[in-house]
Amino acid sequence: MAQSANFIWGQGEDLTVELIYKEGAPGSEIVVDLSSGYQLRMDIVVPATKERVYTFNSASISDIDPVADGAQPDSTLEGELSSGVGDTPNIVISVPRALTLPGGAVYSKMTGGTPVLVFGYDIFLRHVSSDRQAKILTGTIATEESSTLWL
Amino acid sequence: MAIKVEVVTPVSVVSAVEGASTAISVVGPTQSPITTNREAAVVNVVGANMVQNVVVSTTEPSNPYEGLVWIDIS
Repeated sequence: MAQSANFIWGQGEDLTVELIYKEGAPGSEIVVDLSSGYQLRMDIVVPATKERVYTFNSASISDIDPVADGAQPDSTLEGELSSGVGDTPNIVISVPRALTLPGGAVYSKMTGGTPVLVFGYDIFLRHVSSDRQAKILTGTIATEESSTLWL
Repeated sequence: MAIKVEVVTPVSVVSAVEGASTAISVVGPTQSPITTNREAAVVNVVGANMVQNVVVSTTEPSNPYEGLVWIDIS
């Protein structure tokens, strides 16, 4: 079962999620070099309906929502995978503030008929050559409304 | 083989697994120390209502804390 972590996201802020991914014997896990051969995807959803709000990815995806008709490609790469040398974060996901500001996908949910302020997410990591993937983290992102909406 | 994810970005609640030592941030009364019902926690108190830098560690069997980590503030 994947670990969980809940984030707080101030409306209008750029959120940077930094993770150190490790593997190994329990208690002796070591940092994995993710700089090549790995891909990451993180979806934000409305918890009650599981409606996908936004996708963060480290490599282009040909169809982010296979449930809907037609291909919905995503070539905007918010996730960056690196070596993690020196126990530095080997996963950095940059969540742009534009999402929570007017016109953004999260903003529309925050201000909808039934406002949504807490979103669910999970993060998958795929090892490309073996075509194996695992859910590595799950939880919630709670947005905090701001008075200042600086586009 | 175990998988471990250390969250560097401050979070409100995080799960702890065997051998894990994870810094988390929680909001609570200005009071120290905070202890868990397992291993000791280390805490710094800053500001009127903010407690941060709680370090939770455990030697319990694998994945004893999937889900929430409950912290008693008393």
